[in-house]
Amino acid sequence: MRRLLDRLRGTMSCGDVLKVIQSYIDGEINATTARRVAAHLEQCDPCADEEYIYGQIKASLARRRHKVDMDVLDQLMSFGERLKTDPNLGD
Amino acid sequence: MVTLVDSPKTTNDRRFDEYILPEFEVLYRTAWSLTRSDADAQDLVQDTLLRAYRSIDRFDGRYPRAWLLTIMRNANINRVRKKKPDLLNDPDLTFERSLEFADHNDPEALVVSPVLDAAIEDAFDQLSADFREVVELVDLDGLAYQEAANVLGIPVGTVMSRLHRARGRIREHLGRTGLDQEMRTR
Repeated sequence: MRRLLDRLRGTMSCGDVLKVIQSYIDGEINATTARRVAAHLEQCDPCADEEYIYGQIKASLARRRHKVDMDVLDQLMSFGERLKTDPNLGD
Repeated sequence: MVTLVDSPKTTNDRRFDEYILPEFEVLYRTAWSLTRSDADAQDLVQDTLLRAYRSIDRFDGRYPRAWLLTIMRNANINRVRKKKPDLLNDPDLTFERSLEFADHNDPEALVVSPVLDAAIEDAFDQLSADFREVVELVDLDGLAYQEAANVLGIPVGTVMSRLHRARGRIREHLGRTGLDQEMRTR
């Protein structure tokens, strides 16, 4: 009954929000659903906590990102330029 | 009347600059996640660039990153086959390599909640190789779900399912350590 009412009002239940919370954080849901999730999070502290925790997990994992050595990128850029003058490079 | 038309080579060079050049950093990050080595990652990116340049005239211009990551996936399969044919798809090898992965030299990570980072690292290390792989591609390399699916050659639904379950396990780990309660009272 609650789910039906939620659907009629265009709102989402906590269960529905938690199913898509990770996709929401990743920016992988459509704009309409994202707006409904955001509206729910405004009203619901427990779900807002879950969003915060999953957001922190994602941020922490991103801090493990391998540092790209700019010299290596420069070398790859040079390789790309050489490739344009000599497409048979590497044969 | 004289019509100026680009030669095929000029067109290809322009497409290379337009579609491939902006993706160099993503390509390198992804290659590093796949190889765990600067030298191997560099070789893999170069191989990808070669293959991409040679087929750029057949590329329709849509989703260059997805196109490049698919090329990289195929190049990587060949690389692994050539290097150690008997170890192809050896999950133990992937696991061993992942143990070398933790970046302990990131000063920002030391400042921002070291306890939380340590707990998340513990939980991450306990994940299966399949789960770690998607987490690395999406959270560390910044790929979209579809892009990670292209690199791994699996359906996007599988990427989503593995990623969400992987993070769910990390979330459960935070629950067991009580860190989630501290985060709630932020």
